[in-house]
Amino acid sequence: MSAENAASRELTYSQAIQEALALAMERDDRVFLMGEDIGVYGGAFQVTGDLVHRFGEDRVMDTPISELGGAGVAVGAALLGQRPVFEFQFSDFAALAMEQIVNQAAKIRYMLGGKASVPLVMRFPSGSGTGAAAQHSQSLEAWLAHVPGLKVVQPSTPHDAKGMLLAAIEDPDPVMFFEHKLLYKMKGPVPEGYYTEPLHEARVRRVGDQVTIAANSIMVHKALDAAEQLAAEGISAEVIDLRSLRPMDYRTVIDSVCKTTRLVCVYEGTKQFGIGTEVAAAIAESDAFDRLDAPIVRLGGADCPLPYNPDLERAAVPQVPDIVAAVRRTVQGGR
Amino acid sequence: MTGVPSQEGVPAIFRRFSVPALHGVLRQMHLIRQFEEGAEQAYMRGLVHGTMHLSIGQEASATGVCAVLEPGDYITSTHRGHGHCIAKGAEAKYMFAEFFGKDTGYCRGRGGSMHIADVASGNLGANGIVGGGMPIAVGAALALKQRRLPNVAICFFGDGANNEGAFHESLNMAAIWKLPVVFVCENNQYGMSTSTERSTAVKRIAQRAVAYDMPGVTVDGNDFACVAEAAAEAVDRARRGEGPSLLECMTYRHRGHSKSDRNRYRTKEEIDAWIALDPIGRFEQTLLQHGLIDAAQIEALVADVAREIDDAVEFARNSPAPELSSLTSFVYTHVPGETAHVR
Amino acid sequence: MATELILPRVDMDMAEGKIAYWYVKDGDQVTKGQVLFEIETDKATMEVDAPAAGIVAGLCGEIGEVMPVGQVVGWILAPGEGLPSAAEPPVEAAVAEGPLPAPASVSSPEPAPAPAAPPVVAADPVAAGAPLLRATPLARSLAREHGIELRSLIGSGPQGRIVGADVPVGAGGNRTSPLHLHWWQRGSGAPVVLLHGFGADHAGWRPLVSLLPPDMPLIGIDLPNHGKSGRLPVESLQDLADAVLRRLDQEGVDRFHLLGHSLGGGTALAAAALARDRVRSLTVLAPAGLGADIDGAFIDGLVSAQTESALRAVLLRLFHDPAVLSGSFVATAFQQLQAPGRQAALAALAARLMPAGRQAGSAGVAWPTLRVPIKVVWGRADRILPIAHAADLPGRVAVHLLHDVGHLPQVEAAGLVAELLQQQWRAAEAA
Repeated sequence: MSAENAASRELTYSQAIQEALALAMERDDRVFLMGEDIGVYGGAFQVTGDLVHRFGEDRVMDTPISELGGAGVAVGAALLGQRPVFEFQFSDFAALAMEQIVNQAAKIRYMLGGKASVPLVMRFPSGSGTGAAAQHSQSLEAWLAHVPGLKVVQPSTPHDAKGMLLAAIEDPDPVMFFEHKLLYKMKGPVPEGYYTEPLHEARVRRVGDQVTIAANSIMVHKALDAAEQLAAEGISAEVIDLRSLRPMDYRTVIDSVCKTTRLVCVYEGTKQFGIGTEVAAAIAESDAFDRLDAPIVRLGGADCPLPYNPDLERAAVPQVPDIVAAVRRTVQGGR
Repeated sequence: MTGVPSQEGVPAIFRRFSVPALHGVLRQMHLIRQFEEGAEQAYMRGLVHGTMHLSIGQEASATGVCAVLEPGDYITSTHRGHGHCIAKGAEAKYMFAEFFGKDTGYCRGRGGSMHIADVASGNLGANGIVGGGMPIAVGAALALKQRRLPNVAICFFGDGANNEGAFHESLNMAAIWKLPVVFVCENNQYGMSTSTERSTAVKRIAQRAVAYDMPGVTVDGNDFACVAEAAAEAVDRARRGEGPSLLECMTYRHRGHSKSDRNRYRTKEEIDAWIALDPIGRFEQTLLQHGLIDAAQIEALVADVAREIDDAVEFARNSPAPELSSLTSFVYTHVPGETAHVR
Repeated sequence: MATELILPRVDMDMAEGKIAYWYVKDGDQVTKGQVLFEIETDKATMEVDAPAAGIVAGLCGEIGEVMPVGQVVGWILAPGEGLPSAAEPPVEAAVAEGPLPAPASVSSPEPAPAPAAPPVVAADPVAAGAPLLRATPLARSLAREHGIELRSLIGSGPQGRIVGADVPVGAGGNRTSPLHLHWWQRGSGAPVVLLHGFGADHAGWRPLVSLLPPDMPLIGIDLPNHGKSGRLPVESLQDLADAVLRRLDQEGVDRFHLLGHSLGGGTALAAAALARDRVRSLTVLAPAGLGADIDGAFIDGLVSAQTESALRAVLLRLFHDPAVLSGSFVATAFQQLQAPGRQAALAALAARLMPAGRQAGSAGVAWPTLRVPIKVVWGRADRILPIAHAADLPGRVAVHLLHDVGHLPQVEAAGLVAELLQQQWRAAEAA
């Protein structure tokens, strides 16, 4: 269902998500929300807002602080055909629910030979920059992208947040939906009405021909800022918004690197074993290999827990100047 | 159907069942027993990959609970779930096929012993994670309530699970939301090798019910009537919308935890003492005693089960294995777009 | 595996720095993380640690010498390893203390092949015994597709890595000439093709071009490995001539006049011999290829100058009158030499055509037999190529020896050169 003809207005990322949840619940009785403080409190990040007043407590359920149990309840309900959308208050709390996410939700369909499915959505506010420190600032999408049976997506704009959430709720498999906290207040054009965005396609956000920057979530915006600065220096960078981590749209990145011959991966999660690691390896393995004219570069999170001090916190993840310097080095053939 | 007429000494619960239904229960118990023994034989012959967790000696708790269920009710099970599956209507031949890893098995050879399920008939599956099925049962109950269906979810779990965080979270949520779920603990007194005495802070698991504001009762898990009576009460309560219950069935497994268990943690005397309390024998005795069955019928029934088992094994042996090319099938319902990136 | 020690970048906008202090000397055993030297930048002094454990060898960073970021200043070897042979320190480099010791199983480094030409940024992959050929996957696949030997190419990437741009194929992937060609003026008649000298490019002709009539068609070509031209393997003046002629073919230029200076002059003479029917006139200024002598120190100075002041000292040798050398001339020349891999590419070319202070190339004997106007112009004060090379030319060749002019007649006697060229052009076009 496309949004091309609908009127568009400016919404924040979190408003776009709320609108998606409301549209989904209006359209399908089976959709309901679960999470801590999502009812009258409106959600820790005010995403669910007043949905409880519109849809009632039976469909906007406050759970006790029981991530493991709550996730499992979502699995059980989904097995019977309901469509739960489970909100984790912070993505870091996924650790408590890993048993139900990884051992149950991801594997039930396969273990049962395809005779059941788990059509749930789990939403994860994640990322650093709010001073919430090590246990409330992580980017754990790589953990879940590693698990066959899950789908993992990370929209970077309000438009995509709404469309991809609606697609995720429609999807018959478990979808892990990662939101960056610093994006909640970001504004962007969002079409009215019901529309979906595909869950398996990356988007080229800026066309260029000297280097490909592959990024996810908030790093897409930093990469775009960096590309603008680099353009003034005569360096033409192409920026790809991965949008979906599993399944990942390798083809868009491969085609881009075949054109530009250089690749810089930018991601907030820890550099080692991260999203960019997967992209780099996939490109090196693909037909883009023979077109590579410089080593592939990964810019990822520093090798430490996210620190509290704001300067340290900023230094722990890639920032625009880091992206500019890395891209410049890659194009100009530095060390 | 007309139930068994009340009589001196006949357990009250028998009134819910017709005589043929009671014969059916006995047949089911024999089917579970012979199934487990057949699986054991197949394993020892090298026909079964991996390991298995046998429930020989626990037939009454499985059949006692499932006998009071309706077709639209659900169960979740444990890693020791063959008995639950059969009691909920699973067919031996598809179970053996699954054990042999064949494509005709319930899980198309992908799940094995610990993951047998048949969602279409209300069996949400055995589970390889202790406590894994507990929140799932609560979720199923939530869905039933949301759909306004008069059905219930039964959560089978073992004594080991009652110390998992998932147990506590599940009972708590079931209680606050008054969900139609019955938690049935088969307390066979050992986790793997650790006795409940050493692992659990309370003497009886049913004591934990009070912490979650629900009824908790302990019964003789090797007595079909006791189990069925307690189960009926809990299930009826759930159907009335009054919320969850905790039912503890004291029982014993004759065999070790799994096929690699050397039984070092319990004595031969203890095992023999419990074998003497075999639930099948006791049920047969009760039926015979009240004239509800005769010896010839029992013999015929046992022979019929034996034939069913033989046919099931034959079916499984002759079934095809899954195609290697289908290795990554069934991971997702559908995978859009191209994901291959190999040169 | 031998670990390079480089002058690292330690500030965001650092382009060069100097070593302020060495803590170790050749032969010292170091652990990973041990402080090796101190560097000084505009902003601060910083300690640099050993990136690996091993034995220090081949140290070649002089204290106080300004170096660009990334310059190799030494190596850390594992026991039993030798220095990579393309990275020997120049004999006169000041190592902190002591001679180069030879720990038991480390082989002593061989003497450098061209004594005053240390590889600065890129290692020459063609140097004898160089084990590692660095090339990007793109360069490898382009070379493979077009049947080009990777080892014949010179890499412009870091550490001498051959990158896609180094492989001479056109944008469409055809084996086209990588030479850059520029039309200053178009007009009727055969164009004059201007060929620059070693280390320069077509833009250096601009002052002369401005003195020429506007109706004279003029083409400038950057020689291989110069200016905007790509890289080509070049072993002789004939290779240069061949490349120029192919580029003219591609441009559709059939008949032409040649004006060449120094190396470009030698190229023009060789081209005339190869394309007798197409050359309308031949004018060369202090051409290479007529003898063996050449000021080797000038060449070496050009390919190794790291600062403007160093380059200025070298460039002064080109002129009779030092006042002629302007600051902008030096600045422009310096900037051109800083292009990535440029100096290394020039050094490699010099190693082929004028090794060890002798010209290896020869213009041959055919060119003076062309039946077209031929002029050789030479400054008597030329310190780079001696006027003696013009002494025995056949009578058909007009030789102009200029007083008070050094190696660049087109700068120190621009008016005269313009006049002579016009004579050549009009005479040939009228015929």
